[in-house]
Amino acid sequence: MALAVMLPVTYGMSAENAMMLMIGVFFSSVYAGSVSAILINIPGTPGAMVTVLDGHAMTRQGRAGEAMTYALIASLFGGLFGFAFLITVAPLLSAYVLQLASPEYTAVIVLGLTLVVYASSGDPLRGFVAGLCGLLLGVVGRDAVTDVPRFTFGLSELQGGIDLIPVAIGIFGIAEALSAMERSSSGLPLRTLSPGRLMPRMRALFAEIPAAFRGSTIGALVGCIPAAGSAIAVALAYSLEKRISREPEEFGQGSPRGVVAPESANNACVGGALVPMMTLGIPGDSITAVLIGVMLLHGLRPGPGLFESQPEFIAVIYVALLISIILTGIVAAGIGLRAFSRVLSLPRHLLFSSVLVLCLLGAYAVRSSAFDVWLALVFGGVGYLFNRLGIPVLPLAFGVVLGPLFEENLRRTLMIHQDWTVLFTRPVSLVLMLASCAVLLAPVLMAMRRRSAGHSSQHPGDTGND
Amino acid sequence: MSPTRVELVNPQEARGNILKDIAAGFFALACAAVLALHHFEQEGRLHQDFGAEPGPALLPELLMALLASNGALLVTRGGWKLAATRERRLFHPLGAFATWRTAAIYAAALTFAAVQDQLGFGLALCVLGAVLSLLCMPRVGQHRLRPMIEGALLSLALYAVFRYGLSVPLT
Repeated sequence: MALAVMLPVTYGMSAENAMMLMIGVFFSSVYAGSVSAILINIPGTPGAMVTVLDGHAMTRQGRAGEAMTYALIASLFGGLFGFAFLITVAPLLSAYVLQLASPEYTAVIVLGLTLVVYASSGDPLRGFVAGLCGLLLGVVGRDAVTDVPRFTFGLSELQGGIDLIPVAIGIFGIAEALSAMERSSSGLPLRTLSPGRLMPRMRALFAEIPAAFRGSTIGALVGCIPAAGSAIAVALAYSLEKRISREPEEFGQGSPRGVVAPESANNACVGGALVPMMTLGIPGDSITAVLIGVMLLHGLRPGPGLFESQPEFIAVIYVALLISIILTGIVAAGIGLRAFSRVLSLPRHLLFSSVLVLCLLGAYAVRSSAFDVWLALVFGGVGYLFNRLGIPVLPLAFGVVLGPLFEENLRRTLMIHQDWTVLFTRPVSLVLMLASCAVLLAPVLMAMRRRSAGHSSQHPGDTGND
Repeated sequence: MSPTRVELVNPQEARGNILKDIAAGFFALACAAVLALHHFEQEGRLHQDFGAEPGPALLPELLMALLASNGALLVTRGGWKLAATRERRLFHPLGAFATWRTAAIYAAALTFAAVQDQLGFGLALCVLGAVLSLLCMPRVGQHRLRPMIEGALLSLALYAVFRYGLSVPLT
């Protein structure tokens, strides 16, 4: 939204100034998405959807300040990693990325979704229910190829599909506010939220460097894949950390690594997403699509020719990204962290009521549509119900994001190859599909192993703690 | 995190999980049924043969089938565990939809969505802010007017940020 708001401002600017402004807004808004995710459980961007899991859990534990510092440092680390990636590896990798086709994209999306189900705290089978609901929401509206309406229930507002923002506002923001009120009303103590100290212990901070490095690598690589977007990158980074952690049960309960990994991936994605934009003229995600729009608006044609015809403009993009990273760090560390954490010092009744009011305003603002307010409220109810039923909401949001992409690539694959087995015959897609199968089967196998271990450790006739 | 481990150490949570499995399963089955009814009743080109193109019905039908299967699996798993458990007292008191305050907050937000067209976005938001602020107050020993005014003013401030700061056409 920030880019869309700033777009008209660039009309009167030179191409260089416009690009400087837009990349600044791009990077800082990607970082800022984590702030609302940590403080009020509303992800500001799709890339911050995973940050809510541990970031907001830290806030509930009175460690919001630490969580925001972890997020900021991870964002800067990821941003600088993405920048280094953009200027060094990107030109070499772009040619290879172009060889990936719809079967590989389909397999990447399947892997992304299965990883989200795995990474979300909660039962995987219930997670699949949420993921499938999300994918179904993603296909609502007129089909892009045949223009046939699907699941619109006669409502003209659904013809264009369901936007992610009202869904995310509903299932994260409104549902969280309702659940928090319920916690307080059911007699459970609801402490006044305190941001706590800002700076984590240095040893704890340094311990997260490997996670930031792994997250950044994943973010930069996934960012390179056109249309994959930050959502897949953060899911991959989070689930990898959970997978290799010695204490996977801490994820979702306020683990700093659960903030560092997705945030570094999310911000490294910025540099990665600029790769296909600059080298191939293909948008890596919706934000780079706006950036391409800015370039076209100023008479520049992104793509391989840009490096030869406008080398100075390429330098402007590099410099703009670097300055944006540095300035984001300075502004956030100098003013932002303290100012943001003040939000939590609001009296509880004002905090909850303003969160709800902000949710409704935010839902309306995306398309200036009252229907989106209704959508946010409906999904608020759905998110609340999911919380009560122990169904993780994260796969639902990811399904909405990835549903249209998944359908587009699956249909393209089937149309070109006329055979779904192509997903298992091409080397890259085979590896990705096998990885998805492994992710799907791992919890089942682990549960069986634990069950057998539990049975063997119990005495005959012992019924546990019953 | 693992439901299996929780089951071994915490029977109350395990009982909750059985209920959640069954409820989530029925939720999935209900969603699949409602969507399938709408999908297969739809006339026009949705179910036509599109030749080499797999057609717009392919993914929805695949997803609905998967959702229904998942729902059936959850119900079966919950039913299986229910049959295996010796504990009969499965429905604990927190099973109601919500406390009255949560329900009232949700109802207030729904009312806002219904009346904002008639009242105007700004006024409706102020009223909502006042009502929410009052509902979110602790129950005892608190004045009522002050939180209402604070809530209304905060809503007005947020409205102004969106209306004038971000130029969102809030009418």
